Amino acid sequence: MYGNLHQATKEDIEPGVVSRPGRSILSAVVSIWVILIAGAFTTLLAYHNLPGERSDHALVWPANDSIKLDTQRPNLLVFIHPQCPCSVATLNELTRIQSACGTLLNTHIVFYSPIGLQWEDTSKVRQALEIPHVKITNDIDGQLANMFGALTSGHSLLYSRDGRRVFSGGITPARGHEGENLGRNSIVQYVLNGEVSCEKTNVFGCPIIDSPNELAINSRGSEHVAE
Amino acid sequence: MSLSEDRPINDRACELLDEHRDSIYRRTDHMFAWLMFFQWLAGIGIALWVSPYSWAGRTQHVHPHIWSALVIGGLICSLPILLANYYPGRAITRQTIAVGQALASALLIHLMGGRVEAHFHVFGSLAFLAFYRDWKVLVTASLVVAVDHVARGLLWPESLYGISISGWQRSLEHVGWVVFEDVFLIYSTWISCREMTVIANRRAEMEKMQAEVEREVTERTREIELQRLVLQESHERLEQQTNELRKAIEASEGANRAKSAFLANMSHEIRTPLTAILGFADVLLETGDIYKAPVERIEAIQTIRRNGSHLISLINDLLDFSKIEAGKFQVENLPCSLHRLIADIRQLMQVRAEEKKLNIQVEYSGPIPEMILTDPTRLRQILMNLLSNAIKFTHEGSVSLKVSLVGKAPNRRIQIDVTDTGIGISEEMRDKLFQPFTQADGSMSRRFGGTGLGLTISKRFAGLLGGDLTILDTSHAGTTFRLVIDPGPLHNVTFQEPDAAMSAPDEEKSKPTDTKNALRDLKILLVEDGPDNQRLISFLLKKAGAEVDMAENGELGYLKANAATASGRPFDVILMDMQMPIMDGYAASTKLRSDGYNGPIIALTAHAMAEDRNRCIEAGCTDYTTKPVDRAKLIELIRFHAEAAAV
Repeated sequence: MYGNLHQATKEDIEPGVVSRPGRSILSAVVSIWVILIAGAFTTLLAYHNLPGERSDHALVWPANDSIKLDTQRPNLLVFIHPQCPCSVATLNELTRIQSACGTLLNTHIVFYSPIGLQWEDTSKVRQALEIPHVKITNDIDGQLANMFGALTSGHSLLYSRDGRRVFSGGITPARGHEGENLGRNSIVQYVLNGEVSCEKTNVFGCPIIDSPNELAINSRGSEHVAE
Repeated sequence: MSLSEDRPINDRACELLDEHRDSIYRRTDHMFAWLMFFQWLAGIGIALWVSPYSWAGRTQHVHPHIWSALVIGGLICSLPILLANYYPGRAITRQTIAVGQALASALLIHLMGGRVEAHFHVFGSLAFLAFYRDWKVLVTASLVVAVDHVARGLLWPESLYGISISGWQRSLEHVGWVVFEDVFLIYSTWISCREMTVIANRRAEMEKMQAEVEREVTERTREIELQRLVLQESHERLEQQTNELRKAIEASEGANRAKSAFLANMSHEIRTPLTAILGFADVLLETGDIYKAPVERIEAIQTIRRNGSHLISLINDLLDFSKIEAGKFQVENLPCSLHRLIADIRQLMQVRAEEKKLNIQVEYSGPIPEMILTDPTRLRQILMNLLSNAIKFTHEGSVSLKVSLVGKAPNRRIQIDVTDTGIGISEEMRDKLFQPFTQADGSMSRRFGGTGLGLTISKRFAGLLGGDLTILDTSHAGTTFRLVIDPGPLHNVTFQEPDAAMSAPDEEKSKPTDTKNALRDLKILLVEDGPDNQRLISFLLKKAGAEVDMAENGELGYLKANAATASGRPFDVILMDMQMPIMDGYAASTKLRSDGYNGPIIALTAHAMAEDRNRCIEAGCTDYTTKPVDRAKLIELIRFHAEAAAV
């Protein structure tokens, strides 16, 4: 009964159909559209995978008054800009590290704390306070960050009991992205097994300091040098 | 284009299916246009909420996510929205929408850091795209998802799976799940399309049927219209015929009315001179020493009187017949003694019977009611007619009446058989006998006289009295007529045995009333326009001792009556003729009564029908008598009302 029914669409004979040149233009427009989107995606992905600045000069625990090296456990320092939205992923990854390592790890979260700005109660600080077995340290004007070479929010540094730097890098797979990543795995593996699978990963996040070169370190703290 | 009867059904089914699909495509295009627009707004909103700024120390910048949401999101939804608005229903539009929606999923997955929950957007989008019921759209979207997964899975796995470890197996697994969903969606799309095809075919069939039905209805309507026109034509013809018939009836009724009026007037006009003729014939016979007059004179006067009487009976018959024909004849229902009535008639007819040496015998068969309810005048008229005929056509032998009560309650009837030993009626005449103006042959009227209306009127009267008149038997040895009438209700009625009935004394032969001085001291106003009647009636009244004043019309009568009342000597009785010039008796009586006059007014009219009497009474008359006047009756009537008024 229905076998004879031809089911093809009849757009070619529909009224108001797009003419052949019109269709070519449409195809071109669609192609351009796809290319533009692909370009924009590529740019976005490039941004998300563009690692932040870093300085790996602190191969050993630098002497400082703010944070003491725990010689009984590995020491993990996580530098966070309290306003960086990407660092939510870092703190979530840190939560996972803490879940895996617990008290086997001496963890410090170091929050950049510029003079004159009240950034002690941001959503990131509150999130950090929820993570078990971590210590919160306010880094006045980013002195510690400068000292440890952590110039990008989310930069994590793992030091052994004897103060050697075991790992340096980000603990997220990309900017603001959580999930399985080399940084987290390396830290957990070292703490649990004492093995280092990866020493360096890229750090994805906001720059902690405006211009690291402008910051002079002195015994009294930090001050901005006028240009 | 709807389906015509001669168009292939499949063509129309294809057309309907395409129309249905097109409407689905357009509808879904618009739905996606709105969805993508809201997705874009939601993306911007989430970006503004989650990461409005990126920071470099103290310095803040608009976060690249905002630009991503604005620019990439805008790019993704721009072209699909434009195409949905400008080219809805087009293949390129839905394919672009499929690509756009897949890219929106890709962007969302990326922005949500490759969280597995974000991947549900892909499945949701595919399910939504299934609204198109076009498997090609699903394939396009799935291809975009597959390419995105494979490419990003290899190049930037973090953005897709949230891990930095690239792996094509995972991409394949994700693509596999997409294909898994596609299988079901494409299957359901296929089923849906098949159902759409079925629906399209059914609709095409229905349209075809509808077209057939419409054609049928059109044909039927045309036929009905034709029939309606025929009916209308018939109706118009019928109406025309009805109108013609109505006109004919009106004309006939008019003619009938004219005839009735003519008859009534003619009867009145004839009765008036007859009153004078008969009255003065009586005066001639009764005045002076009539026995001294020559025999020829007496015979001449008697001839005048006899012919006058015959003329009166002829007029009466004609009037009765015309009333019966017009259906305006009304019978009264009065109690009367059947024995007494029959005895009166026998006594009345006996004189004529004896002239022919005949005897009238009355026989009662079984008990009969003492009183019955009927119209005694009409019953008397029927019996008189039957006996008159019987005597007329019988030369020797006898005439007999056999009275009996027949039937069972409540349908009991009085049956009277009138039998003569006369000449009989021929067979051919039996059927025509009750038709008007019919006699056995033309010579009958010459030999026996009569109008030929008697039996016709009698039969009609018998019908009006709830019975019938038939010929029971006829031969050369004689004829028997059977009259049957309804005696009315017979409960609480005493019955008389035949012997008692037979022995009932005959009513005393009415003696002429002693009219001399019967109206002495009475003052009577005679209102009458006819000079002959004025002279006759005033002569009779004066002879009876009355003082008579006269008026020529109703107006003068009215004035004289009022004047007499005002002078303190009112008239004892007013005799009022009803047909007069200037003011008739009806108007004069009504006017007098409205002025408060309460003396007796006796109507004199030549119109002898029952309704005429009623009309007189309604006009205010006390009583009524017909012309030609019966002297004794008139004097008795005047005396009675004068005495009643004096009391």
